[in-house]
Amino acid sequence: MLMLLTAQTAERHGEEERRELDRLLSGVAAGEREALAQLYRRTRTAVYGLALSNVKNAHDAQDVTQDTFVRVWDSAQQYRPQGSPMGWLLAVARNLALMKLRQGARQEQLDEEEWDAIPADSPAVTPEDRQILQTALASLADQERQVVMLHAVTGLKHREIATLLQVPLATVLSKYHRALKKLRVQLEGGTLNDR
Amino acid sequence: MTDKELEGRLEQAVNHAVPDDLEEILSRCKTQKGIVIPMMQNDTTSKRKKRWISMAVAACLTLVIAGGGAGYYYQSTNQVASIVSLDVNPSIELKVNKNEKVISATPMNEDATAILEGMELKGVPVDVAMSAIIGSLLQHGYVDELANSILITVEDEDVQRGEKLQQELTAQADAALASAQVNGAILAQTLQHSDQLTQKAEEYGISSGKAALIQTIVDGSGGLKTFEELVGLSINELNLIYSSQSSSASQSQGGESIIGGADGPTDIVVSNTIQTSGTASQSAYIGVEAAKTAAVNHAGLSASAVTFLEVDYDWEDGRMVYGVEFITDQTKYEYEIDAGNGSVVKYETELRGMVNTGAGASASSYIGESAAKAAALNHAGVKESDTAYCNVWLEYDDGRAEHYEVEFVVGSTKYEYEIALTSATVLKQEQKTYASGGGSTGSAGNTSGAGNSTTAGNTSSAGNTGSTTSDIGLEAAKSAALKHAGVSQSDATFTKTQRERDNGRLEYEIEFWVGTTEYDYTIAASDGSVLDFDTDRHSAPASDSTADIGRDKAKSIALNHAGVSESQTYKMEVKQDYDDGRMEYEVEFEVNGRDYEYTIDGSDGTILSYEAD
Repeated sequence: MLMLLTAQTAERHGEEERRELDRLLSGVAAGEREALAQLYRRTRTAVYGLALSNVKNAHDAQDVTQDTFVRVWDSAQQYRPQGSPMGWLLAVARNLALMKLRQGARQEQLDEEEWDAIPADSPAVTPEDRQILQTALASLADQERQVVMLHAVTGLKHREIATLLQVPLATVLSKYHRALKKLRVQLEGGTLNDR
Repeated sequence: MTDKELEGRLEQAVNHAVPDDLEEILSRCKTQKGIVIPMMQNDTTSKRKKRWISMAVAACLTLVIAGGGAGYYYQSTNQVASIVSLDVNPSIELKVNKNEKVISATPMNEDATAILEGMELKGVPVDVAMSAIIGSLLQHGYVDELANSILITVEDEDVQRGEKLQQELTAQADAALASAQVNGAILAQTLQHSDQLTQKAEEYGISSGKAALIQTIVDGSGGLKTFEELVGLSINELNLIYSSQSSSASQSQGGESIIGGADGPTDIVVSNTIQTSGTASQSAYIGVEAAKTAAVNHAGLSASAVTFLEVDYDWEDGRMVYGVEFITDQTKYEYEIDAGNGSVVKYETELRGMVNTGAGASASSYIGESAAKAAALNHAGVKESDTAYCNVWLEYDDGRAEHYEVEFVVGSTKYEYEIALTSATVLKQEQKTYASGGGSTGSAGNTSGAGNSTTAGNTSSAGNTGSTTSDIGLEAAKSAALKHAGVSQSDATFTKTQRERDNGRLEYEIEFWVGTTEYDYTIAASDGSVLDFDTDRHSAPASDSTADIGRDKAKSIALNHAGVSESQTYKMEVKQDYDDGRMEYEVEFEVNGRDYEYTIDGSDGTILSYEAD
């Protein structure tokens, strides 16, 4: 029962968040720079997380995040408030991340072990942060990483993640569980059989 | 660490890692908000006034939006009556007010920026703007004898007004092309706004009009085409495919025709009527006759010895192809010929008429799998040692053996054979050569990339490079996984076989169990290579394990806990799983959009974990 109550509260919270994002997007569409700034502060972690889970290095993720908000500024008029504002924002980000990947594919493939995905000069990043990010980037399959990152960072529901990634819900759920399992194994040791 | 804690750590880490680039973003946003070309001298005052109105509306929205968010619609429809988009490869969007005057002209891609350069379209009647844009397209070489198709889309909530505008603009565009003595082809459509279509267009960075055209083709393809594989094509290529598809569907007479668009259930319903005029250019391709000759020559026949059934255009495996079908008395042939260079991409032959497949004969008279395999390899002139993968099995239909199926892959060519049960007769065979390399589009003279418009032989639009459409097929993918695992098909129980796209790459997710070991593979659809695999040895249930509560009981425990009845649920799934030697049930379902997941101890019904999302 407590769970249901918590879930209802969470849903109300989600609805408020959606309205707030809709409001900010309307502001951006009307050319308000402050609305863009607020939108950025609220959603940059989600956008950056999605970008990072796709492009797998901090530098490109930073580019994609910047490009996403510039694109939003340019095209917010096309957004209609009936949809999911976060879903729309992330679809824009994902599209740009995939474009970045396609550009990157023409260049030399970097060996996954060779680069440090998270630059050492990020002062806020603790050794624990670095460990979990590197683990997520190195030991998860692409889709597993995307699913777990989207769920953890963007607040999207599994169903919305399935829509965004255009895969069945069951796939999202199984990837999500497998990803958490793998992360736990990497971070805590043990075997895949451990829960 | 619980799932929640783990997610919390991940979120915190990303939160710490994300750089604060707000200043840079804002500095980039100064000049990039579309291109609104000013027409009037005292522009600054009118602009400020409009901005003020927009802000006032936005401020009201914070109050209105709680009531359902219709305010924004009011705002936008009040200003913009129709949205007209023009697609060639450059893609331009004109916002038009109810007096058919241009409010803004926005380039939707890089090519379009050059087209609009130096034009002042704001306040100009939309038909005049259309002529000017077509003039600029011609001048920049985007419409020529190699690629002559233009897509005009009018998006308007008022269908009648939209259709009227569409007719006017089509006539205007026709006239502009005629006066430049260009043999153009125009596709025109009127749409009502659809959120899904807009989002799809935004996701792929194309106009809603182009998205609607692609959706119409996808809907009409009977499940053979996907949005993603068509998204990189130029309007000329899409026009060729659309015309080919609709002429075989409705046998429309040549020249001008009006063709009904989508039917059938889809995610995005595009009740679209596309009006076509003129004929899409085929000058970049070898032509229908050359394609027929290439196919017949490959079959070792002469044109006079065969009866042609059909020749059409298609987009296959990243290239334009001609589909050529013909028959002789004994055999039906189907070819796909690369439209750029005339090479054979795929061919299929099938014996016609009464053929003795051996079906119904007693199993003792079957030739056996190894003889069937040998017959197929022999026919193809291939040694088994040269194959990347080779598989043979008995194909059943309605519980009765029909024929042997043999599949093998050599290099980038996949062979499929059907061999008669009691003789080594080849009943049917198919051979397909995939475009080599990840993402390469393969056809000759095809340089993809934005901005390059006039090079001879180049009709491909920018960038479909991400999506390789090579596909070895599900059976081959399963075999590749089994081979890698060293497991025979008969020992494996498949729990999941799914084709999906990951980052633009086509993959097969294959999961199977052998005894208590779970195998989880990701196989590249392009070549059958193993991209990722995972084995999970689940302990067998302890032999003295007390009881199994059963699926139904597990389900009802979860439903009781969630306080819902099964009739309220959607997508109910109950799975048995072993974890740490313990048998568990995983129960998942959805109620009113919320996902529930339970893990329940299979022996005593204890809820081990649950989650509502």
